[in-house]
This record gives sequence, structure tokens and C-alpha cells, in this order.
Amino acid sequence: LSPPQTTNQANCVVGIGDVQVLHANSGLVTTHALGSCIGVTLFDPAAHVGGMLHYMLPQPGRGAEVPLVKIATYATTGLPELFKRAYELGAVKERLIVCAAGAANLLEDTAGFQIGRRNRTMLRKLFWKNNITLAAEDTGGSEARTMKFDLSTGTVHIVNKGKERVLWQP
Amino acid sequence: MATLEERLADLTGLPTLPATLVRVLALLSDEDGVELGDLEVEVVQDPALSLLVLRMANSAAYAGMQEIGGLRDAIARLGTGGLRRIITAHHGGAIMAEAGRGYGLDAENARHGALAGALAAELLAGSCGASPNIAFTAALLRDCGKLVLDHLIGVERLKYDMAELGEGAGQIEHEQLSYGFDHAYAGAALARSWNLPEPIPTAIAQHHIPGDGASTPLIDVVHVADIVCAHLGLGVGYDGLAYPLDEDALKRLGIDRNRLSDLIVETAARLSAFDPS
Repeated sequence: LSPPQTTNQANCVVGIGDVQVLHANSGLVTTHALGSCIGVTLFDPAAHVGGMLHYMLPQPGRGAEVPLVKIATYATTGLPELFKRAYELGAVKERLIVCAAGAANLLEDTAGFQIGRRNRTMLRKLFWKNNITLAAEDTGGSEARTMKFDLSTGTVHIVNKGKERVLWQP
Repeated sequence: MATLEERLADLTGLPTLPATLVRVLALLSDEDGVELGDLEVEVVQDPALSLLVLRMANSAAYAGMQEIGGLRDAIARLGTGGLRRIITAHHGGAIMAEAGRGYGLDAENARHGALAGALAAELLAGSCGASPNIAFTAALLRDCGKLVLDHLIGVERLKYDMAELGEGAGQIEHEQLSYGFDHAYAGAALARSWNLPEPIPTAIAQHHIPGDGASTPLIDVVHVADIVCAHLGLGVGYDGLAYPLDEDALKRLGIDRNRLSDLIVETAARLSAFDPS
């Protein structure tokens, strides 16, 4: 996992099960390969802090310890880490603009696997408990997505089937 | 109208298997037939492969107390099985990097999808009564039929058709209805044209629909490996996750929700160790 960074410009890729938080005036943060995983961005325009998490699963197995290198693998450990890193760089909860994308599901996945749906449920549960509202969301279906986050404006784009669309912009 | 096999007989634009890979795959089902020296010869002639062998020999999976700097020592540490696996992944991954342009895949995504599938299948096979070597190879090449569709249907036509496909529509049904065959079937035909031994072509043919014929542990393993990659978004393009999950295949392998989650996490970790790029 990358430590929080302070920089004037940042272009980086957030890998699967990874988190990045930056203090930057410009740059582009991208995550590819959102299948059933979820990408979450947060942005504080006043503090110029932006971050992205790409988590794979809602939670670790019961009683399982999560080593530091896998902290961004799960919603229950990755989301607190994302927000903690943003606060450490000066972000303020009330100013945060939070977006999410991903959580696709395979067809005929009805036997309780449904990882995409469970990832989305856990996101909503944790945000509801912590009084965080999603500014924009593009989840579900069977689409694979790429998420791009512009640190200069907070604009979030989703790329799917070769087409780019705005998920959130100021 | 020519059958798919007849059309496959004249696919001059498609990649052929490198001679090294052909030799290594020919030994797949013969556990006693592989000599370390035979594989060593293949490695020393290929600088990129030599570097990969050195890196893997010093990786966490193989590393001993001492770092290895020489190729001969690295080969000895990996052993016959480890070396065969790396040669297969190196050459097979290079071929699979070319597959799926019509599915919107770039080279890296296509190659990572192939490698992740191979690593997931290998991880699963040992406990399911399938050969890890054969599962690794079958899953690595499972989407080689995308090479055929890119070639026969055309990249732009495939992209256009997939972009127009509605939410919830199955990709396999779409390919069968639109082109008369799907990439799994085409992949099996291509694998046979490459002279890959059974049961690899059959596992490729049924990797999306394992119940479409007699099921075997290998077919189920390759199906689950494909599901793991879909969840990770690896090797996934315009087709997205529009493929069925066969619950019966997972049941046959004894995979529940927790085991599938573990497989996903472990596969991502193994891919990262195998290919840090």
C-alpha cells in the first residue's frame, strides 16, 4: 500500500486492493478492472485532498486478521483507511465529495455468492452508520468499469465499452 | 457454408504456438518425461525468459536464505515443475496478450486475465482432483477463441455489436446468435489446430458453460478460475461480467462463499507476485 502523499501534481493508478490519498492541485487518479470490486473516490476541494480506494470484498472471513498489505482488500478495513488518510492530510468530513462505481454481477449468480451486490450493500451500510452521503454512484449491472478522478476539479469519469461519461463534476 | 473447423484451417493471420511452448506442452501429461536440462536449454536462449526465471527464483514463493544471481542456480531452485510453469506462462501469456482486441482488451489486460486464470486454476486444481499443470495451461489459454473472433468477425464489428448489446444479455448467446459460434467453441477448435492434447480443448470449450457436456473436475476448475478473473475485472472488456456463474460447478468443487472470496484474494496476490507490472 502507498503512504499518503503530498505533491503538486500526481498521476497514478490505483491497483486492485489498493488505496491512494494525495494532497495535490492537479493530476489524474485512475483505477482499472472494476468487476465486482468497488472504486470509491473522495475529494475535499478546499484542502485539495483527493483519494481513491479499490476494494475487492465486503469483509474478511469471521475472526480473520487483516495484515496491513491487505487493508484495502475489504470494505470494512479499506474505507476507514481511505478516510483516515484524507483526514491526516487536512480533509474535513463535511466538505468531502464521495463517489462510488463498480459492483457488477455475473449472470445467474443467485446462490448467495453475489459479491458485487454484497460489496454495494456493505458500502451503503458503512456510509449510513457514519453519516456519509454519496454524491454520485454508478454500480450494479454486469458492466466492467474504469474510474478516473481529476484531482484539480474532483471530476469523476467512468469508462465502459470505450465510452467515457461524467459521474460527478462541480 | 464452410464449418468453423474448415475456416480455422486457413487462419494464416493467427499466432502460432512458439516451438518452445509446443515442446513443453507436449510433455504436460508425462510427469516423468521432463528433464531439467531440456527446459534449461529453452531458457538460456531467451533473455526475457531468463530474467523472469531469475526474478521468480528470488521471489517469496521460492526464495531461500541466499539471493541467486546466476541463471543455472535459479533454474535448480525452481525445479522442473516451476520452470515448466514459467515457460508456459511466458509464452502463453504473450499469445493471449494479442487476444480480445474486439472485446476492448488491451495487451496488458488480456495477458493479466490469462495469467490470473492460470494461477487461480492451479491453486484450486490440487484439492479438486485435477492436474495443476493441465489446469494452469487450460485456464491460461481459455480465451484463445477471442483471437479467432477478432480475426474472423473483425475488431470493429465485435466492438460495435457489444456496445449495442443490452444490459442483462448473455455474451455467449449473443455470439452464438450473431456469428454462429462463440469464443469458447472457437477456442477449442483453435487449441485442437495447435495440437494441444485433450482434455485442454474440451476445458476451453466448456469454460463458460461447464454443464454443456460431461463435467469433469478440470472443466469446473477452469470455469471457477474464469469467474475469479471476472470478479477481479481481469481479462474483462466490453463483454463485462455478462457470463453465467454455474452454481452446480461450484458445488461439485465444494466452493462456498468464503472459499470463493479466499480464491479471489489469493489470486490477486499471486498475480502481483508473478507479474508486478
